[in-house]
Formats: sequence, C-alpha cells, structure tokens
Amino acid sequence: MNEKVLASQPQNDRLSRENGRGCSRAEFLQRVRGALAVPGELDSAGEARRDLSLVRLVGGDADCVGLFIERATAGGLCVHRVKPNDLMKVVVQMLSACGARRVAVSVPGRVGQSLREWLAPRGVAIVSIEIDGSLDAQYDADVGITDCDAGLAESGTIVLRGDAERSRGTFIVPPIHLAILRESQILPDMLDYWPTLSDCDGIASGRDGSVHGVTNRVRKVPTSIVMISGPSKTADIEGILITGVHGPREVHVVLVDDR
Amino acid sequence: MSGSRVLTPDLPFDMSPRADVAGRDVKLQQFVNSATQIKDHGRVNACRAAFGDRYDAVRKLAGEIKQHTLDHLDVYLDRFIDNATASGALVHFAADAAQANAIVLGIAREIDAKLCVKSKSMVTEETGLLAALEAIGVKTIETDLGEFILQLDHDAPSHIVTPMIHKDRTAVARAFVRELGAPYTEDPAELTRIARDHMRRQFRSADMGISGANFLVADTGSLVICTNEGNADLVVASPRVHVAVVGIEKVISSLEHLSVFLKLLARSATAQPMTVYNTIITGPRKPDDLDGPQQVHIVLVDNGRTEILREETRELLRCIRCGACLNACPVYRKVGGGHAYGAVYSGPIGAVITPLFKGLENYPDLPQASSLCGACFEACPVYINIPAQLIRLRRLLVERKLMPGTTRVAYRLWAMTLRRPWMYRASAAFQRIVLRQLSTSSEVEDRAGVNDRVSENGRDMVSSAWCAKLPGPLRAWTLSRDMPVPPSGSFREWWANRDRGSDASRRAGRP
Repeated sequence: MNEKVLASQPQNDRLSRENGRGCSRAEFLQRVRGALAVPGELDSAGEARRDLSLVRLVGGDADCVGLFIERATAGGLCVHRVKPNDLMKVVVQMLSACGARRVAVSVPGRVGQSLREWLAPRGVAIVSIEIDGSLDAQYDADVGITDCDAGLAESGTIVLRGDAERSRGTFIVPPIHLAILRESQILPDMLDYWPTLSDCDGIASGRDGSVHGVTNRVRKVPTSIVMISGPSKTADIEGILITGVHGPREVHVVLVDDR
Repeated sequence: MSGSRVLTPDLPFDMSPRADVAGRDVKLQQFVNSATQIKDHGRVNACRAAFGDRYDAVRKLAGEIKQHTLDHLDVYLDRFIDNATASGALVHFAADAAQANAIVLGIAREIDAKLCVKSKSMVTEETGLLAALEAIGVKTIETDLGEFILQLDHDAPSHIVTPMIHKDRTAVARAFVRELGAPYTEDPAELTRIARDHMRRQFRSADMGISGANFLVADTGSLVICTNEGNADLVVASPRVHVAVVGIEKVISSLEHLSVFLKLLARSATAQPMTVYNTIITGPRKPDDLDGPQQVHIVLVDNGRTEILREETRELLRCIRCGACLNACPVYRKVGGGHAYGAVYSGPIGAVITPLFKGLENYPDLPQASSLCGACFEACPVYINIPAQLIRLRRLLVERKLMPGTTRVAYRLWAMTLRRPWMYRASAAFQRIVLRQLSTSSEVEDRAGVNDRVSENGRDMVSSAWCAKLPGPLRAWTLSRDMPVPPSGSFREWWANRDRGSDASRRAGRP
C-alpha cells in the first residue's frame, strides 16, 4: 500500500530527500498513524452523506433575489438591477461616473464581446490581461469588470472563478470592481453552490477507495474560486472600518434581470 | 523588547511580570477591554441571528466533522496529498520548524527569490520563517495591515485575528513617519492608503508569495484562504511562485463540509456573516489558464501537532483559529492581550496548546491563567472543551511536581486540615481571631453598609469591615484587593444557633 502511495509522488519525495530539507511522505504519515494509535473504522461514505441541513440558512422557497440584494448591500456591495437590454448602457454610465480611463475585462463570451465594442469608441482603453500570465498590466487599470459564477442569497456573496478566460487579478487589483451577475445565477445557500461544479471521478481516492470499494466522487474545480462578500476591509487600526486596503474600495454588482 | 522575543521569551516563562505591567496600563486595559467586548457581543448576536436555537447544535456538528477528520487524519492527509499533487501542486513534508523553514528557504533559493510578499500564517510565526528568509537576503513583507505595521514597528502580534489589538493610531503614525518617510497623520483612512500604496509596489515586483491556509480540502486537494483585506488574493496570484505553509490539522474532507466552517468562522471571528474573501485554490496555473503562479508549493507542517493528536488532547486540533475564545476570556482582557502569554498562540486556546507544543515545564503559568469560567467553551465554534483541557494540564502540573514548592506545601497543609475536623475548627478559629485583630488596627477601612446583613438572632454574621493590608505572604492578595474581615463566629456555630432559634420561634408561633 505504501509503495502505491509513494509512487504517486516520486518527484516530490526525491526533491525533499535530495536536498535534505524535509521528511518523506511515508515517514510523515507514519508519524500521524503513530499518534492515532488505534485508528477507528473509517466510514468515509457515511461521512460524505452527513446531513448538513442544520447549517442551511436559506431554503429554496425563499425570495433569493430580494435576500441577495439586502445582504449584499449590508456587506457593502453596491447592487444595481438592470434589464438585459440596458446592461451595456448602465455599465458605460457607471464607468464614466467614476472617471474610468482604463479597464480590465475578465468577461468571456458574448457579453465580453459587446463590452469591448461599447467601450472602444467611448475612449475607455481595455488593458491587456493576456500577457505572460502576470497581473502587471492590471495594476494600471481604474476598474476591473468580471462576470460571476454564482450569487449566494444566504450572505449576499458573489462567486468568481479564475480560468482560461477569467484573470485572477481583475477582481482584486483595480481600485473598483464591477461584477455582472444574472438573477438566475443566485442560489439560496452556499450548500447549493458545490453541486454546480461538475463531478468527475476521484483523481486519487487514496486508501479509502481500495478498502471499501467505493469510488470517491469529487468535484472538478477550477484553479481558483473566490467568494466575495464586500469591498476589501480592515479594522486593524483601533477597530475602525476602512475599505479598499488591498483590494477594491468599491464593489458594484450589476444584477441582470434575466428571469 | 524586540518583537520576536515577545513571543519567544526565555524559558521557563514567568507570566506574572508581564501581566502586572499590563494590569497597570490603563490605556491598554481600555483598548483590549472594549475591542474584545465589542467582538464578543458581536459574535453572539451574529451567531444567534443566523442559527437561532440551532447554534449549539451547529457548533457540535462542526466539532464532530473536524473530530472525524482528525480521528482518521492519516487517510484524509493521504487523500489531500494525492489530489493536491494531481492538481499540479508540489507537496512537502516538515516534521518540525527547522524542516519547514529549510524547505521554504530551499524553494526561495531555487527560484532565486529577491522579494517575498506574505499573508497571515500562524505556522510561520511558530517556525520564525521571516527571520530565516531575511537571513539569506530575501526581503519579506507582511501584507496583512496589522502584521505589516507590527513588522515595521518591530513588534509582535497579540491576537490571532486582530494582531495589533494592543496598539493605537499614534503608534502607527509614528512608525509610518519613521520607517516609510510618510507625512504624520493620525487618520486611519489616510494611514491605510499610505500602507496600500507602499505594499502595491511590493506586490508588483515580488517573485514569491507565502501564505497559510485556513482549510485544506482532501477531496479536491484545494487550499482555502480567508481574508477581509484581500491581501492573500494578491499573494497567491501576483508572484510567479506561491508557497503555502500549513499545519496538518487544517484538513477537512469535502467542499460541502467547508460551508459549515465558512459560515461559523467569520461570525465567530469578527461577527460578519462571511469573510470578505474566501479563496479556494487548486494547483498552479493550468496550461490554458490566463494567469496565476507557475508553481504552487504546499508545505505540510507537523511541528508538535502529532503530539497533540493523541487521544486525550485531539479535540484541541479542531481549532479553526477564529479568536472567539480570546475575545470571551476575562483573563485575556485583564492581562492586556496576547503578549502576556509569551507565545504565538494566546488566550484560552494558547493557554492549553502552548504548554503542549513547548513543554508544560516551560509554561507552567499558562494553565493557571484562567478562572475556569467556561466562556471560552461557550464561544468555541467547534465545541472544544477548553476548561476541561486546562484542568487536565493543572493535574499534570501537580503530578509532575511542577508547582512551586510553597504552593505544594500550602496545599498539603490544606489537605491535612480538611481531613481532620478538629484541626479545621482550630485553624478557622485562629484565622478569625487574627483577621479580626487586624480589622481593629489602623490598616482597616471600614466600609459599613457594603456588606451589612444581620442574621435572624441579631448577630452580625457578615462583616462590614475590610483588611486592606495583610502581613507576610498574604500581602500579595491585598495588593490588588481587600480581604473581608470574617465574622466573630463560624458558620457551624451560626447554623447550630439558627436551628435552635427557629425551633424556638416555631414553638412560639405554633401552639
């Protein structure tokens, strides 16, 4: 069993051992097993089925859009509801209201395309986010525009992902963040978000899979998921709340009524 | 005192000098008192508002989930390592602090790092990573605003969540003038902007980012990092290499379970429904990803955790570092925050895990730094019975003869007296006589009316006078509080008289 385990990470173990820096995976796990003394029977499948309804804060029958707006606003997000046809107009208005000259855009697909078409003739430059994988260009942007993966009514949270079409810097580097969210994307509770990530077979189900013959179903996740519940905040100096310490001081959610 | 020495004092550590100094610092008392009370009330309100009557059941559930993971930590760690490796991250294993630092220094050398940006990681405080990096010439900037200010001011954090709970704005203003050449201002917004501008330049040119992690998700091999400032999001995305230094107890099984902890963490720590940025990172930049670091290293650290993993103390590893027990603790408030605990982890949880990490003989005062009021247990979102663990350590202090000799003699005498009724009566009578003797002296303040109560038969049973100054070793008690003067008779005498008295009145009242 240990041979199998070790084989999955030969490169790392070699790395650690050769440089005499850390210990090997086998040694490390042996320390843990030693401390556990007599490990009890592991019911991994039972653990996966554990009833979490106790922590559910919003049910499916709630007014999720209303709750989302109320709680996002309480957390410091500015929510703007728009009709689908007004989306571009409103975004352009908001950009000119804050005097944006340069924007970073992490919005794929049709909406991203129309954004580019609307912004170019209005003297708003779009900084290139597709350079050498660094966030450098976005440090000069006035506003970052992103789409969202979901909204959570429970806490007024927007969920963003970083992937092939979405930068991991657009929501955090520019001083103002503008996120486009569709009402149909709003889910009642965080518990409802995970099933929206597609399932894939366990990449490595470890000892559990072989012992119990249960294939461990795991979620296929993007490199980065960020759940945002307000503007960047700190209260480190005498407990006084200040926004925009590292990330944006303003976060606007343009909520598109697509229902 | 330099910042690092505050949390790594000479051992064995003596808590009382620091507690004494803090006890006399009125300003510090006010700060820590109001900051912790506001947070404590906020936590109760936020948790009750969200979970209502279910709150205790939710805390138990969260505790059970984490306990299950710890009970099978070998399996879940194994699974995490497999999935993190499959996502492209490089996982390293550090048995102790020296190995953890050596691994990170090795990575820094390999990638030829010059400038490193760092978000909060309690483990790196344990290992003293910053000093080690500085020693090989890698400049490292703490980016959490509080930690950044402490780093500038060569000071040490005094709270897990709000590290500069002991500092006011003038200290920040002076540090910024001195270290950053900024114009003097006491405006928190302006001070924050100065820090932002300074750190932005560092983020932009940093080649290595170091973070901790709040959770490790076994099923997906993900790191979960929670910050309100968003500094971790820059740390993990801006530099080309990201190194996460994480304790093994952070593993949970699935993303579903993560919801339980994210819902509790922010409410317990800062009374927010959700931390502003909850970031879930799975591996380095993929071939078709737009950006992100080229390498993600995860350094799994033991450094004493497998000792605590033993059955009798395992529950302590459920801790999610929310700081709720610090805010709830009357002792933490009174000793002026975390510095009095002389270690990385302070407050009630620190009073238990520090002796376990560093040796009970090195921190014999910490298990005593509690009134056992139970507020920490009530505040804990993962239902850790801290008072029971404190009592366990106190028992070990006695068993290992780590109590001071005078205390041991005193308790032996006490036990001897309690076993012999005649001795008890005699010593109580002696105490009454001596203390009442003192109460007639000029050192006694008469505070009549404070405690006056008259028993049925007219005898004054509760004293109205106080001894302000006792002789000999008892002086320590009266230095900070007065001793009430005992009544002339003992409780036993009073009880006997009372029975007779009431029998008499019953006989008189009823034919």
